[in-house]
Amino acid sequence: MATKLKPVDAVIVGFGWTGAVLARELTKAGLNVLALERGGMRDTIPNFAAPMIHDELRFAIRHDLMQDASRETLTFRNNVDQTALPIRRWGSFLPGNGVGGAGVHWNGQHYRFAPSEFRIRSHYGERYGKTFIPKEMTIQDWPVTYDELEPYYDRFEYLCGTAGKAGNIKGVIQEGGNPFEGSRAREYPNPAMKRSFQMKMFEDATREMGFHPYVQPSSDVTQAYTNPEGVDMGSCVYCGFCERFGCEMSAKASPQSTLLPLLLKDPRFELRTLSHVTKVNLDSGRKKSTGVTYIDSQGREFEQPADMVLLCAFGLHNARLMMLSGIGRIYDPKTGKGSVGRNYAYQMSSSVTAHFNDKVFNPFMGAGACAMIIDDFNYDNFDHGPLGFVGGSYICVESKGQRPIDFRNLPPGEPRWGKGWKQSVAHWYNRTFVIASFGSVTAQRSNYLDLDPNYKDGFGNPLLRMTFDFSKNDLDMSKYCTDRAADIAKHMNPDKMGINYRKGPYSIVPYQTTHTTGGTIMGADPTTSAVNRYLQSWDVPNVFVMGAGAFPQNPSHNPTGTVGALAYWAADAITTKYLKSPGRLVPS
Amino acid sequence: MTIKRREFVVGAGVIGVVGVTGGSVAPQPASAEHAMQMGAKQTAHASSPAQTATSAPPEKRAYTFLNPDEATWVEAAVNHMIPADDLTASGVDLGIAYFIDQQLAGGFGQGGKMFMQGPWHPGVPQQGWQVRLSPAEAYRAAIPAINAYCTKAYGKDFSSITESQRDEVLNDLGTGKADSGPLPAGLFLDLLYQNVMEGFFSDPAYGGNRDKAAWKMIGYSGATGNFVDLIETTYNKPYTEPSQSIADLS
Repeated sequence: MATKLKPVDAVIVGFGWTGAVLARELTKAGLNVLALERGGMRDTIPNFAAPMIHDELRFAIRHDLMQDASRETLTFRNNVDQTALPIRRWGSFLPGNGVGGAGVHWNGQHYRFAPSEFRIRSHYGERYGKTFIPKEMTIQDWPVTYDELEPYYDRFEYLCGTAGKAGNIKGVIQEGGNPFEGSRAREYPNPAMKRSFQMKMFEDATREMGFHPYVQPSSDVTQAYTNPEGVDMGSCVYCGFCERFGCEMSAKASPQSTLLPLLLKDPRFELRTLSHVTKVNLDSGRKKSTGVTYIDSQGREFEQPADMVLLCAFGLHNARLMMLSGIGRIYDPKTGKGSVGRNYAYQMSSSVTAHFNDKVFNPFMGAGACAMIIDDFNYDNFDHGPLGFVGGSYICVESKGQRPIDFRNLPPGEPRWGKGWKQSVAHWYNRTFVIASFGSVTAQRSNYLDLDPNYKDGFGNPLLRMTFDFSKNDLDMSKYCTDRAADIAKHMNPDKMGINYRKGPYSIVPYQTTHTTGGTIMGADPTTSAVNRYLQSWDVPNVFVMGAGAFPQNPSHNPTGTVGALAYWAADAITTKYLKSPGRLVPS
Repeated sequence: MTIKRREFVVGAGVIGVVGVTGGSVAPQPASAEHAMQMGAKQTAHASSPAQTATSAPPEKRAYTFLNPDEATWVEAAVNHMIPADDLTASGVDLGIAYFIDQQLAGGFGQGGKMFMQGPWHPGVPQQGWQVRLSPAEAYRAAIPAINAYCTKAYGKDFSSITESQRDEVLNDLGTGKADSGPLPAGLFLDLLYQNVMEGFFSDPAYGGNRDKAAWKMIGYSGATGNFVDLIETTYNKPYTEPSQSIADLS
């Protein structure tokens, strides 16, 4: 029997990036906000303290900061002809957990999507003809434009202290930036990251080849910085323990390093950790939420009433909560009907290794977002006509900090163990770098999320089921871009090189990226989207759903920059429109 | 070469404490030697005594998971994958067998963060680990099966066959030609290989990578974490500072 608690104005489910942004914006607007986080409290001190945090085995391999799959996982199959089975240990992607969520262990790679991406279907139709897009490819225009989001991209970048060189300010292309970028109002808040030797080699080679290299925009802050909220951030020391680790310097932007100090002092904000939300409650009409139900660490069930509910629990969990709570109709690929779970997408990734006998790279030096990029084969920056696929990749050399349990790329044909292997790795570890290609995944009719019929979590609720495989379109795109990466490697004249194409079928075993998107997509049409352009549920207007679940398909660039921008965009709609007149912000 | 049972040598010191057994940790070689040792030249790998000898009389440690037959098997596999040479001491001398023992006794081995609820189905390779066994149980099931396979194929158990036969068995475990008992093809070799690499390259706090030998071999800085002044000033220059463990920095 659930204990009913005192109501709050807004309850936030999950306390990562979007939870922190929404908590701050709603408390500033005068609301009493309660954040419920299923994991434990974490803060820079003591949880991310060095040297403890510089432990590859514990954090990068044993996933100390991530969700414990033994308690809750998802099931996976490539297609409806397979039976979905639990992901029994993480591989392909690493869901976060605890205060800060994945915002603690991300790399800090901070992008904006290209303007054309926001109207991808219209754009491809205009340039290549309407039949260019295959029928099974369910890509959609976003219900928001780049220009509308630009001030919110800016806002999140200034919160994070993003370091970079703008490529286009008010329509004027800037020397040293990415000329393919959308226009922005002003420069980044902090100067771009330093260049490692391998980044410099890539920059020189790509420039010689006629491409347009730029330093990756990075929320690993490059100098001491006080953000517009008045929170002091540290300066990155290129320690090489970024992705999968917390930052001891408060230099990597996270909820902890950008917002938490303010929120913890705010009397209008309360954070309850180890509080696992199992359901969003609806009234008898099923069009209004009355709050949420959660279970504490002792197994006591609570009903938390609230005027509005913000789902901020990462795209996958948000989709599952909507399904478990009966918000919106679950997508069925047979009928094509249902809005929750559709357009699940992921990321294509592949690599080329370059090995040089006479060069030394010190690959352990680096930061999560210390990289050199080209966008020449990204978005629609190149002619897709003769190629026949939709989408593209960014191609890069990353100096993320290459730690030896995970990074020992040897040339093809080397032994795997023994004396010969030791000689090989002793020689090549320091003489190798990787040219990586990270690409888009288009939405497909057959790739979706729903609830599993066979497996449950410890609370007795069905696990999320993921049905996903790489489409021919995306495999073709990935091969093309991998070949372009190989061209760049060849131009640098390495002594040896290896090409690692991404081949199907999609496997959840090797790590790729944690850029899972879709499932709660935003759109203009309530029959083919779960939320409207303000991330408000079409079906239950006092529920808003954050995260990359909103993306109708996944562009190539990393999602967090857009996730943060959309959180500010939604917060703005809530505080300036919704609170004045609660109800549907977009007629359905 | 037969490996005597329980003739293992493990890393100096308990977790977090350096040099507890009374000897001190080997002094770091001087910079120039160290720079050479980092592999700046292709063939000139320094074989300074400080690098390959045990630093102090090593503390003897008991295994708390592996039984004697398993210990023999694991030590043979570890020493086969990481043999003694002028780059490092043997894998067993570097503590890798002890590392594996400790991992199997602890959370990882017991399947702590793995979803171990049924129903159970073999699945397809894309669905990953679907065996109804923890990693520790997988070792326990595979080792006797592999020994039986070796006896049948070569007349002796895994630790007693020749080096080239052992190499063949490991490769055949990868393809599924060699029997690993109740496990699907390739699973056990992947697991073993992953654990050996972890034992070789992880922080010495976990029992392997004794004296940071693996890190020194490849020129990895270890748990050190401040390169803001070096990343742009060491183009094509080997890093010459000593590798540091978490204990060194604590």
